[in-house]
Amino acid sequence: MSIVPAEASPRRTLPRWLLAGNWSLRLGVVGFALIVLAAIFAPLVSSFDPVALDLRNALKAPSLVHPMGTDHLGRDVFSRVIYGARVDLQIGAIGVALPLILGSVIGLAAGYLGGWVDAVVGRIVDIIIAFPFLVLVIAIVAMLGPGLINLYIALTAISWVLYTRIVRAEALALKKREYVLAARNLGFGHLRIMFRHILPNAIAPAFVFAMSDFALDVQVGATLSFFGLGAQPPTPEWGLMIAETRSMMLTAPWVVVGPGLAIVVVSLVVSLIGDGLADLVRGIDD
Amino acid sequence: MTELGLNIENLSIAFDRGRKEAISGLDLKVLPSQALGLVGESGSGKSLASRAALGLLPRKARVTGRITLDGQSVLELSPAQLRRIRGSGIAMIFQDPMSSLNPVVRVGEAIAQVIRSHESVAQGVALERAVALMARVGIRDPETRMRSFPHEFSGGMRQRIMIAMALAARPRMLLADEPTTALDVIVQDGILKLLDQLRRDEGMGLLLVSHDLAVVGSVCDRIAVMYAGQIVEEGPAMDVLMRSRMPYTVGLHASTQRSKTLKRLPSIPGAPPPLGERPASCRFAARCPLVAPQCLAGPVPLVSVGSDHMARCVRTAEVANLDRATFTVREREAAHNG
Amino acid sequence: MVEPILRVEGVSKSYARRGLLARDATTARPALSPASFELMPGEILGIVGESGSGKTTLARCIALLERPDTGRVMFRGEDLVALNERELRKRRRAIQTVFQDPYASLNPRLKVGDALAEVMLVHRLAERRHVRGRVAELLDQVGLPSRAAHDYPAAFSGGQRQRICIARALAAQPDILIADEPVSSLDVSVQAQVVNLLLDLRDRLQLSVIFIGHDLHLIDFLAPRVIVMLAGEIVETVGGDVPITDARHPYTRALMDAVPSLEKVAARQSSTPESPSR
Repeated sequence: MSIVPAEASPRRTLPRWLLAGNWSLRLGVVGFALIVLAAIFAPLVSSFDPVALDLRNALKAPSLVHPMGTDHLGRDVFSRVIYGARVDLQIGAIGVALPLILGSVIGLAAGYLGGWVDAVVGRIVDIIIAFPFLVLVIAIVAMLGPGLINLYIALTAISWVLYTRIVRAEALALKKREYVLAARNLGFGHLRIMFRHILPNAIAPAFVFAMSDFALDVQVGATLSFFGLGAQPPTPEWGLMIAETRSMMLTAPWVVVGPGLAIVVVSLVVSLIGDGLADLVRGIDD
Repeated sequence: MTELGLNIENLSIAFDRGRKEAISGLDLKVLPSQALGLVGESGSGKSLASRAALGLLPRKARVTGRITLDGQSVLELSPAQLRRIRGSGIAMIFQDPMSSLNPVVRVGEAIAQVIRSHESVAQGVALERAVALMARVGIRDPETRMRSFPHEFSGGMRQRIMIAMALAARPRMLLADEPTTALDVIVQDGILKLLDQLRRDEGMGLLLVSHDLAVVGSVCDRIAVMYAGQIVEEGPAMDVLMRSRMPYTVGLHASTQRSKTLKRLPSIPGAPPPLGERPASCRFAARCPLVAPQCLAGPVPLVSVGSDHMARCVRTAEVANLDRATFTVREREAAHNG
Repeated sequence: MVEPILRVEGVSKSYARRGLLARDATTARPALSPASFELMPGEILGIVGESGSGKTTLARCIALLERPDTGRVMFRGEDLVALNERELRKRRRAIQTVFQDPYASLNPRLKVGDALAEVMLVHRLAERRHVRGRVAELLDQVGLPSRAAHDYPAAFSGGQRQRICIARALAAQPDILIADEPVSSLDVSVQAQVVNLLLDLRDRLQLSVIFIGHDLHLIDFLAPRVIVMLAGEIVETVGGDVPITDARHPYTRALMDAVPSLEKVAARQSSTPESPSR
């Protein structure tokens, strides 16, 4: 029994929750929106072409014209960071979306149907989880060949298991709930029960996890590009930018500060959203 | 002179920056070895009031008034002092014992922990006392059962273990918030008898919170009825049950009736006013069969209607005209009125 | 002579403990020993027992939410147990259940109106353009305003939610309503309202109702015939010519005595000088 009587609880809808408190979510959403907007309107934000060479102005320190300086080929680091957001955010988004969809559906089926489906899924999940994540991604990309498409395939092939585990556990608990029994009693089909009655109530923790996964995927994407397995030159991508200029790091530190800072800021903003979402989920469930 | 027992004076608790008042000017007194029943529907504020006595209040609540336990003001205590008072001064049992028991601690151990947190005794001694307490609350074969985990007990047995834990620190006051609502009637009967017996043997004060007038009536010597955040009737149990002077109490009484001569169960029509929409005048007026213009004129005070018996109603004299079995105005009287 | 609408014949169920490798039949505990009874059209049948007496298992076997180990559930001359899942799904709407916990019985992410509409659309019980009107009718039938359709379950109290659950069951136009402890978690004052609603619906819709609970006084009030269960077995059926006060089984008597009532309170506190006025 809750301490506050039932009549005291306001009619809860998501937007109102967004307005009420929850600073980390607000801050995270605003920050993330600014980054996305900057990526979309990159030509308006920066006046330099991210791939245009200007060797006369190579390795210039930050100034009003070049707020983050220029790299060894005279390219404006700030423009490259902004344009790089397009690539890195895409890695994060696709690297989260595909596993989230695939993993949730598999987890939902395993948890709700149980039996051999659950047993088979369970074993596969155990096997994949037994390997170190980064090693497995590198192995798959190395096998398929470098490139972003193959990175997405590798990320999807591995991180779905994390979503499967989360959604399966939720579905397992929810299928004993009386409203799911009622749905069966009403003669609803399995698909309807799974996707309309269980999934919407099981997906919230997966979304919370997706936020930390987003940051991880951005870092993994940058790491693989750094090793030459992800984005290829001259694409502006943060990991690749660091790889290309790392030999000048001591003489012209700004060349790595820009992309490095970008990775940190995106990770931070996304974890703020994750924290905020976690609070929100707890708040709705109590 | 310090007042013994639990004393709540003019307690008001509001939420939503004071806009939603859950409890308005509540006065309640439980003397040592007395059993007071607090009855009301969900949302009436009865659980909130009992939790306030333990210093368990939601952070956003705005509280005014005084709560004292044996003369010590509960609302002014520091968290550390509160912890000391909880258990030895005042203990509480809840509706759902499973959520208050640690699932991975054996029940004997759990009871011993409570004993040792209030007294410095050896573990062996504490465990022995735990066994004795388990026997005291009616658990058979306590020497074996003390090694069981909470999930190995039925709901009723778990509630008995909660009671044993509550008794472990020898509290002077026991608060029981809907202790039997989740249980079936036979188990409920056993728990109520146990509470009654413990209260008499240990000389504890008991505040029993329930939505069921009959449950409260079978244990308590005094009954306070709460409606929409206010006490609407209070007095000796028999007076409140059999000579109620407030229509709401009559309605509660009627809704426990199961007379087969009626085609439908008597019930109070409608629902209590939501928080924040409670009228300044009589809060029960919208559901009351005796409602009259003077009921809507302004705030209704608690008035004395007998020795030690109070009711919050401006028509206490006419309440006798209500049919106690059907909660309707008796034919003759209805014709007379209009 | 009127034929029974439902005939339950020797239905039993045991839950096997999971062994290390497979289900272990030897440690199976019978949750329900073979039970048989009949339900007549328009009848309210009571089932009473304490928790663990098998009454909920029986309810779930009748609604085929659990597959019974043995026995037959004959509905309109057809054995529901013998049907496969696909055939069963088409017939499920005829036997509806209202569960005990109104807080767990409604999908928190579906608006009330959508939850009711879904039932009618799945079973093609109303055309799409008539659905909104039907939802309002159903809400009205259970005593809720039609604007309730636009709210999520969180906006409602326990008693109101139980009304919504009843409306959802009625949306399927069932012949039989199983009410599995529908009022046990409600305030006494609200219990009466929900029980009266069930009685009204039985009268208006000619529903057959199986009402399950542990409050024998309450069940005796609304059910002319009551099955008493103990430890998975039907120990007695009371009612008809025999009033419940003449029940023979000691357990039935214990159930009677355990219900707290104000009459008993009055008797206990008879030390007070003035006799209670009625």
